[in-house]
Amino acid sequence: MTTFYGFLETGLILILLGMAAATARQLARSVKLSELLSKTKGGKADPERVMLLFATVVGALAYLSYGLHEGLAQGKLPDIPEEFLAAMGSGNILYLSGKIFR
Amino acid sequence: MAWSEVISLLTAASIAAIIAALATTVVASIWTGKIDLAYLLSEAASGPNELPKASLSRFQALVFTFVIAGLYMILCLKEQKLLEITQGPLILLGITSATYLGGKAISAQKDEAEKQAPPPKPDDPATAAKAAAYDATSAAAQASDQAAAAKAAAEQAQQAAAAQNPGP
Repeated sequence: MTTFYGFLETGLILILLGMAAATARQLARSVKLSELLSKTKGGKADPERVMLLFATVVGALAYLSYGLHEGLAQGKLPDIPEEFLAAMGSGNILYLSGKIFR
Repeated sequence: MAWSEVISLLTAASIAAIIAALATTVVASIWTGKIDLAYLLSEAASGPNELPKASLSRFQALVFTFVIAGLYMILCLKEQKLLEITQGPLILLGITSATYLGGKAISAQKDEAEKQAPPPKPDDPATAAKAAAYDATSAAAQASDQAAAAKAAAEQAQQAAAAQNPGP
């Protein structure tokens, strides 16, 4: 029975990895990541977008690393500090303000 | 191994095989492009001839969804049970989803306002002259059409009059 569940886990991970690879393959051909930083195509980078992109990438990597250490030790999905949530909320409000007023 | 265990194992294996087949089909369709995810990270195009632009709010939602869902899956597989989800990740997903929805609403509102606004006047004198020449040509062509139509109507009236009063 344990072997069966192990087999299922491996299959699930392989399918998810395949899905991620297939999605990334399609996105790589159509999306220019430089467009994330400006409101219009080929425009100048907006500071609030740079800040939000930086916070997103760093925050996601930090939570993943923290979750893998703490989560595996505690056996539950770790909580996120309130300060980080406040920072992300502010960053997103700034981004939306830029979208409205620029 | 008891019969009940064998039956439950066979049932589980059958269900797993069906789900695996479905999932493999989906992955293969994404890989070959039958399921088109090329614009998963793009917002709606601003014009009919424009290509969609990458969206930061969509990118953010995708990144956090993958990280939180991936971490949850790893921990559940390790613990062999469904774990409780704490408030922090839920609030973070709420913030990103609200931003995505807000951005979409703002873009839609701006597009609508641009459609209703009159076309901008050209600042460049050369462009203005070209536009004026185009307008004049159109007006001349329209006047010429109207004159031709009036001439045809007059001829028809003349023919009708001649038919009613034939000469000696």
